[in-house]
Amino acid sequence: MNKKGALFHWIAFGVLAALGLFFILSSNFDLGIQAQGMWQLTFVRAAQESDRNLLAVDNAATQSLNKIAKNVAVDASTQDLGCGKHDSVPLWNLKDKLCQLKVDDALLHQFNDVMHKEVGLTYESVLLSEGYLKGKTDKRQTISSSISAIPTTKQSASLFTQYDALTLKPFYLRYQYNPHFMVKADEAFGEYNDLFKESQKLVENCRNKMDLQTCLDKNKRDKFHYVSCNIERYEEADRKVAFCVSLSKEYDFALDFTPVLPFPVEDVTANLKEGDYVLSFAPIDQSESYKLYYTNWPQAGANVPNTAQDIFKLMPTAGFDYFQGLAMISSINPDCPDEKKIGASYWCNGKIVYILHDVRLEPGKDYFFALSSMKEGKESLITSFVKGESSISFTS
Amino acid sequence: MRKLGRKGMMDDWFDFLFTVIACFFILLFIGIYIRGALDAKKQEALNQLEKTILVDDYLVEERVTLNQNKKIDVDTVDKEIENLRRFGKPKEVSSGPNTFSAIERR
Repeated sequence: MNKKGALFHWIAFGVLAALGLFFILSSNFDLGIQAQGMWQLTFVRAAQESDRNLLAVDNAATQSLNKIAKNVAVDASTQDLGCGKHDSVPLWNLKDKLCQLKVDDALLHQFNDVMHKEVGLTYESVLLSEGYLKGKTDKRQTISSSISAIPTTKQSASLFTQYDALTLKPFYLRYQYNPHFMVKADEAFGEYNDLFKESQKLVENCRNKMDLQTCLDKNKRDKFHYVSCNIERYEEADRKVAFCVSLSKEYDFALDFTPVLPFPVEDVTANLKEGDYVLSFAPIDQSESYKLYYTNWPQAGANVPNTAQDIFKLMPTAGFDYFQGLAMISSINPDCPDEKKIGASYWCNGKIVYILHDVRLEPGKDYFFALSSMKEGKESLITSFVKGESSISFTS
Repeated sequence: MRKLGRKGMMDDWFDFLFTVIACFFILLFIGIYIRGALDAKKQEALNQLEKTILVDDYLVEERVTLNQNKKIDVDTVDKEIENLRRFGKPKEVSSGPNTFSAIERR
């Protein structure tokens, strides 16, 4: 090869090397293809925009809540919450119905004022429930700006300059959602909520007890005062009792202890006499009849108070010789003769006495007895089972 | 027909050799270029995904803060989201022992 030919070849190599060097240095490898998953990420980012907006809504709701909480707490012990009033204080329940504090129109207006100022939204319904303040609106918000949702990437304009470029061409994007909110109201309404829960627990415990005052004395917390926080006195009218509880502020309210079931039968005695069991118990006012349950299952009393059905549902059958007996007591003889008939009931010394005979009840074995009262087709709970005694202590 | 001399044959051989070498380098550069471009796109997709996940995590953290009944500053949230989307996770760098450390973004 002569010099001219060699020069020509070296020039070709030089051009190739220069091209290679240029591509390596510029590092802008672009084949006109886009990174995978950008379209999907755009939708995720649009959803994140809505999450951010909902965060702002919840934040504004929390701030608004703190501003209006004071007024709402006052209303809890002054306004009719839907269950009426007793002795000028609001009832927090009426039979089975619970009357929770609602953010009324005036407070809703205050709330919406603050929310409108903060996030430009107003709510048709705002409800305090289970420790949360919940707001609902029919208005829908839309994420439509695809520009802000599309991911951007650094692009090189030259060796030393870069700019942000969209990874996708802008496209039609529409993501709609309702800006509802649900924020914890425990701190703002915590005192009221705790008190409300405690009062409902007291109702649950005592409404089916005949001796209401004894049950209340036993179950109410020390902070619960009858009628007044200053001069405590027990006053009961139509199973409704007013209370005063002094916390950070004074709460005045009343609770309705109207029973939802007939009163249970308590103070039952069962004694074996000449092969029959003599059952004795105090009558229940307005009770139409009684059901006597008896069994040789020793665990029957482990699941009380409960309905008879639920108690005996747990009784093992296979492999055991357990049985469940039932007797109905409906008509009661007004006199109390010395000789009593089997299967009859008598009125003796202010108590009802029933003579039970069942061939399954063998002398020398343990049997357990319980009674429930019936009224208007409803049956009371069973509160205890008593063990049959072999020596009789009853005197007619 | 004219017969090639030794010099002519050598000249053709060198031409052929240079052509093969040139093709090799051309293909090598094209291969590097395409592979680099695909790697860059893959890395870009991973970076974008990571940034999106970071924003998700951040939103969850802010939600937890709010649930603790603490106030959050929405402007700060917007700025942080913008920063995470642009720069990704802040990384802590140290300029050396017993000196200050700083937060810089990738």
